[in-house]
Amino acid sequence: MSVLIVDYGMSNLGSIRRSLEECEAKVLISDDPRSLRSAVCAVLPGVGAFADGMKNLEEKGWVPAIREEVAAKGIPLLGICLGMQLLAGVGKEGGKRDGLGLIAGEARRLEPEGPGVRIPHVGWNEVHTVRTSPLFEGIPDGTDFYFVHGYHLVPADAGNLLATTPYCGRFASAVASGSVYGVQFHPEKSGRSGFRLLRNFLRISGAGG
Amino acid sequence: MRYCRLCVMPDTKPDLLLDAEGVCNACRSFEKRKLVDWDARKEELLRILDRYRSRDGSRWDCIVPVSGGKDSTYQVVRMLQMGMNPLCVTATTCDLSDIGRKNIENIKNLGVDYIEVSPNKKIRRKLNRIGLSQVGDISWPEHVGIFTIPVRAAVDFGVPLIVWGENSQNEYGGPAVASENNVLNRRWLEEFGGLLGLRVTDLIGMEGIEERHLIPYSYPTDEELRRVGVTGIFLGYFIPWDGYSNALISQAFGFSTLPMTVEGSIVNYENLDNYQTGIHDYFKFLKFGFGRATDIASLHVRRGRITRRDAIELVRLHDGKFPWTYLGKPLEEILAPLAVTVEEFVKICDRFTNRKIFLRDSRGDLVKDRRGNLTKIRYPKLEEEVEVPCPS
Repeated sequence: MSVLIVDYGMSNLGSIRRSLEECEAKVLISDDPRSLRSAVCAVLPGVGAFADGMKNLEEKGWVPAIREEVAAKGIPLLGICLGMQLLAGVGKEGGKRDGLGLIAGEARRLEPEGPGVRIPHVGWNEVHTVRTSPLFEGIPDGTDFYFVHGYHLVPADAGNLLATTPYCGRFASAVASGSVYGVQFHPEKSGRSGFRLLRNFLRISGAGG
Repeated sequence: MRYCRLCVMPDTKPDLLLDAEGVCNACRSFEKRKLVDWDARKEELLRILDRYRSRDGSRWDCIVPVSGGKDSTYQVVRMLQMGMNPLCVTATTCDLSDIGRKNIENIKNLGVDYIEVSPNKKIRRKLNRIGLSQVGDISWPEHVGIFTIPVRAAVDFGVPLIVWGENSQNEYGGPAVASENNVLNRRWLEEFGGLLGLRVTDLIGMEGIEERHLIPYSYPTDEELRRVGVTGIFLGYFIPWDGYSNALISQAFGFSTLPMTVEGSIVNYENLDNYQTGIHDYFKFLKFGFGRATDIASLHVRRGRITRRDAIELVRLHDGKFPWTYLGKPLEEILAPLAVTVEEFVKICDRFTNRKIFLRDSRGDLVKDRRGNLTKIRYPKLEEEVEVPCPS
């Protein structure tokens, strides 16, 4: 049983695989949606635009597979950056488009709260948890993680909000619904706190860590 | 902010991880170099070069992207030694220096065909300003163009093999990723190619920029790449890479260095070709608390050429100084083509400063000396404390 990294052509998967392997997970990178069936959990990475991401997921047949295995059977899933935004019901980057619909809400562009606020949001910033979650176990409130993004997921249900980051008002930097998790930052680029979060996800999934 | 116990890299560098013994992954990866069978890698390289060499001399054997720096001069020397007939391609830097131009002319004299692609300067100034103010990278167009332009040249001239220099991600890779560590493709570019979250398509419509202005910054389509069969390899995967020995070899082949160390650095043989580089490196210091001196000192410590004690002192002396000049050119003149004043520049700097890692006064304002320099709260120490890892 291994951790599946969903390969839909939207990101270099080397750094996330390396990080998971450093957490002693057995990792499988696959572009075959059937591989989800035998995975203990899955990671949905992503760099790029929402519409392109969904188009690629659809073309490679991932959308029904993810909905079936993750939504229906409860295989734990961690969406990272664009991968988190794709969990939303709707995305507005590169034209309005349906998302995976695993977390009710919308992926929207960050709106600067005043002059001088830069978009995209790039760099280290604080992540404040709004509820306790095993995903953030052992990670102090307000810990810095590394971000690179111009869009964000706005959850429709406050109950899905796990953590926020003080930028452009306050945006959702982590969400969860059942066994579906999404983080806007890059844990694989966030040093030891990032590794702790990945280990937590693996532990939640029963994949070690 | 914590530092590696062996070199002087801080854990504020994205991607850098200190292990339980307080040693960074770059140092660990360097240790693993000893286990690499470099003879076998060299054989593999020769086989690849052979496979791509033009049989009838009707086209170039490979593209070598060259900036004119020590590494690209070295790449050209090595390719010629291995009997290749390369087409050298320069994506002109954002603000080419005199010594940079001299070193480009030197490459032409090595005995190669050469082309230089210079994107529209009016558009580039806009991109410099957008890059500086939005993602804190003044040379953003250069950092994109050095990857896209050689690939476009490969497609346009029908030369499938591109020989890049070092994989900037290589030092972090273990054996598990080695297999995919020697190719540069679109995905690599998107993740590591310096885009910093600002995508080329995001720029259309900003300041009158149209799609047609962005041709040099656009990666060829998958279809174009397939048609030519473009493959990029990193020379650093096949030959153990050392910037310093590359500089020595390049100098023997006519490469020029400065009479003194470059501002903000501790050496005189690299980052010589773009007057904006001082600003770029200063922003790295503001965002992550380390500058070029830290990078270079760490490379030399790892190779045993200076002690960590020396590195700490050199870094204190040179890292992250406000970039009043670079390669002798005043900041005001470097900013002038962007229509940005020094005063505006200082404001942009403050917006990008990670305030948690620098000293602030009782009102919370950044403390600056008379030359505008910041002070870090924590500098590397001779004995770094190792944190006892919490049980996971």
